[in-house]
Amino acid sequence: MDEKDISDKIKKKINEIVKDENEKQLILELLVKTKRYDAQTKSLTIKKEFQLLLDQYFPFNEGKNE
Amino acid sequence: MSDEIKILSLELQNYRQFYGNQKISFKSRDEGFTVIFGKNGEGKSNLLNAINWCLYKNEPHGVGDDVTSHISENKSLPIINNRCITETKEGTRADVKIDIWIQKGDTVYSITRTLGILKHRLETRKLASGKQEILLYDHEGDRIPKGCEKLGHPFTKFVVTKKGPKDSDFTDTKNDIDPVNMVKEILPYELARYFLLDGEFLEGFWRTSKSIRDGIEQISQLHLISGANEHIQSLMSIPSKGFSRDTDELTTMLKQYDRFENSRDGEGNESWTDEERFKEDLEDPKYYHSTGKPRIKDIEEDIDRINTKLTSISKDIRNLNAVGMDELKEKYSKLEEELKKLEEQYTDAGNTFLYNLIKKGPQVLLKDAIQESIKIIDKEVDLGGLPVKYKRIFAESLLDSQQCVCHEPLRPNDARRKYVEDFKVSLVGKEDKDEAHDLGYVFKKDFLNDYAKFCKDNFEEPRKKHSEAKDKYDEKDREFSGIKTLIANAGGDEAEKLIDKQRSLLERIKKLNEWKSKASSDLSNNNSERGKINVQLAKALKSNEKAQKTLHDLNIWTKIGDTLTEIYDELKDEIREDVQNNTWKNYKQLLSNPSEFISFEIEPDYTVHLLDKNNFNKVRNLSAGQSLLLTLAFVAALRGPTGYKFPLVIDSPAGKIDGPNSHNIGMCLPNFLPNAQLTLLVTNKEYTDNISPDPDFPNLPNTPVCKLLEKKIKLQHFKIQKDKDHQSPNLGNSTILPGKLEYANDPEKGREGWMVVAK
Repeated sequence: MDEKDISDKIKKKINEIVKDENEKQLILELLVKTKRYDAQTKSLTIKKEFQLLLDQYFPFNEGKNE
Repeated sequence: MSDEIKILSLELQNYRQFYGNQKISFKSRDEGFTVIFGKNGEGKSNLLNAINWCLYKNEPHGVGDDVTSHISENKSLPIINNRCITETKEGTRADVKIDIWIQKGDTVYSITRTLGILKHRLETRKLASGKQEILLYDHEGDRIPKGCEKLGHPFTKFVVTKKGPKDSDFTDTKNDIDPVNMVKEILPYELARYFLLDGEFLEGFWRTSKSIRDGIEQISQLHLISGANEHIQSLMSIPSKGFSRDTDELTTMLKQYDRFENSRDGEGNESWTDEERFKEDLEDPKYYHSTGKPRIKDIEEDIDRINTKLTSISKDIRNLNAVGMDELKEKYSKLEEELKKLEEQYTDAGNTFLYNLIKKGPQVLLKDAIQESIKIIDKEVDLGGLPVKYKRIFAESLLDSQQCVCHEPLRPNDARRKYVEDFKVSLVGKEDKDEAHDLGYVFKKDFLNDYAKFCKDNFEEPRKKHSEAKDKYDEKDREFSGIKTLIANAGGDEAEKLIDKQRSLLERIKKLNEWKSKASSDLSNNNSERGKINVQLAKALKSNEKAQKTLHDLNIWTKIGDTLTEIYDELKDEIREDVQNNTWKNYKQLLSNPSEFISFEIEPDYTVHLLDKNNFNKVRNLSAGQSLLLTLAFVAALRGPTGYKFPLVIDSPAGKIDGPNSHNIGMCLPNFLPNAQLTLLVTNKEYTDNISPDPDFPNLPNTPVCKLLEKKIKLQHFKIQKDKDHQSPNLGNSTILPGKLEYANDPEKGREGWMVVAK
């Protein structure tokens, strides 16, 4: 991931609002991904990539999530 | 993101009027400005087109006329240089190539676009003068001589190579990233119009709020936040089916709500009505979307475009010439301004009333249920069950002090400590209930404790204000209609047509505003219903073991979505206000008469108010010069808070500016955006000619802009020189030469004053 692609102002605001480190990283990665998409990007690709990121930062462990 | 971006050089090969290979090296800001000088029609704007074509395969300047028309100089030229294609032998190939070198931070990029053309037999037609004209055709946006063929890969290609500070040589980036996406990362297309500034764009900038919204949202990357959130919403809305009949039904319902929001039919295709859009251009969209956000966007776009059209009709009406018309036109202008102001007032009042109805109306309907819920919450509070956070704080303070309230020790090995720890653990996840407590407090304070005041403030007063504003508007509108009838009678057919057109457009805007209100209210209801179904779905999924993963994902996405909304809302307001304040500060510095205006505001919906001394909003009625200066001020303001350090190439920065403002440009530009690379494409009129006198500024020196700039900053000149052997409009060639400023003193040949000459 290249966080350099995201403006300092946005990064600062994320740091200000989001305390959880995983949530922070997930949000940054979602923004980097979104930056690379264009009108031609298939929605299925976006869904897959977003889901992969979610599974990476907030994996589902049966019985331990709630 | 914060890396400075600069253009190092531009190399052209056989592009339009530039025959053979030609190159311009650009200065960085600490070395001064690069000034490219050329008379009208010599190819200045085609340099801007060359940069656009190379980076984005787009030529914004002079595009629009059809192939058979030769009115526009740019479009009458084929993309390949005429002399080159004429000299090329039949059956052989000629190339058009543009190479741009860009530096971003420590990395240098070479971006090259090549178009290979195979020549067969050129098709021509004989003109009345006896000359032969080469015919042209459009092929995927490129204008090619008829009888030529556009070749595919590898003759036509787009290549981006890069060299970082540690690389020994340039490497092709295609293995890592598609070249189009690479350029998107360096200088995104959506932002090009904010750094490759075209005179026409600058002049029309303030006619719609779209340029303002796009500028702020895209340069500051707010669109990434809203974009990511939209993707998340689509993920949230399609939980997997197959867990149970209940969840399947709820999922199906959610999909319907999503389809409504995004104007889609049952098969997921875009859904349209048969209501025709306002069309100015053949390429404008034909119909309105059926529902949701796309429909609102269509309507807003049309309102913007109709407003632009209305501004031009108003100008035409003011320019009508007829006896005794002056007084009528003066009244017309005055009433038009007053009417606009009243329209804003009653629209604002209407929006407030509508907003309250949608947002606060349901509270009134649910008053009994809310009262009942609050009783339950209060009971829970009385029993000590709420707020949970106080119970947690209480447990933590006991554990920290290692002592119970009964003074029994709670040290790590004490048995009693375990009870308190278990109590604390049992609270995990229950703090959500505190929201009900907080909400209950708010409902009591703002709603139930003074129900009559709630109804008066939210419904009665706004409705009264709205109907009062509407009455005032209608009264002024009747007066305005009377004046328009008088103008139509006095100005003959032309005036009548203009007034009729204006009347029908105003009616259309009125109708569109009604449609917009209805579409917004429908969307709001749709979203509120979807919210309820989402809650039901979450409950249903929770009780289904197989659906735990889906529920887990749904919860995380909901949280991330809410956080993104919060980030977006906070940033948007901060950035908008920063850009607003900086634009106003910059504008006052650039204007020759800053006291003409008293304030500049960008509203949350990006409409702009530039108030003059009489409190009239002048933003849609600025002169070309004022509009251009305000745009420069805005573009400069975008750089600060958004952190995007793009280079600026400005075509005709002082082309339509009057003497005093030209003088101001000459004085201020060297200090404008101190770290930005700046390239100016100029004509003699705006650059080397003496500044025109102005009766309001009798002491204004006539020093040309070039000399004002030269006093404060180094200037590197290039001169575009038209080849005198090829004067035919279809065959004109230009050469780019290093230039310098020189004073000519030969009045007999009409050469007197400063000029840019080839070195």
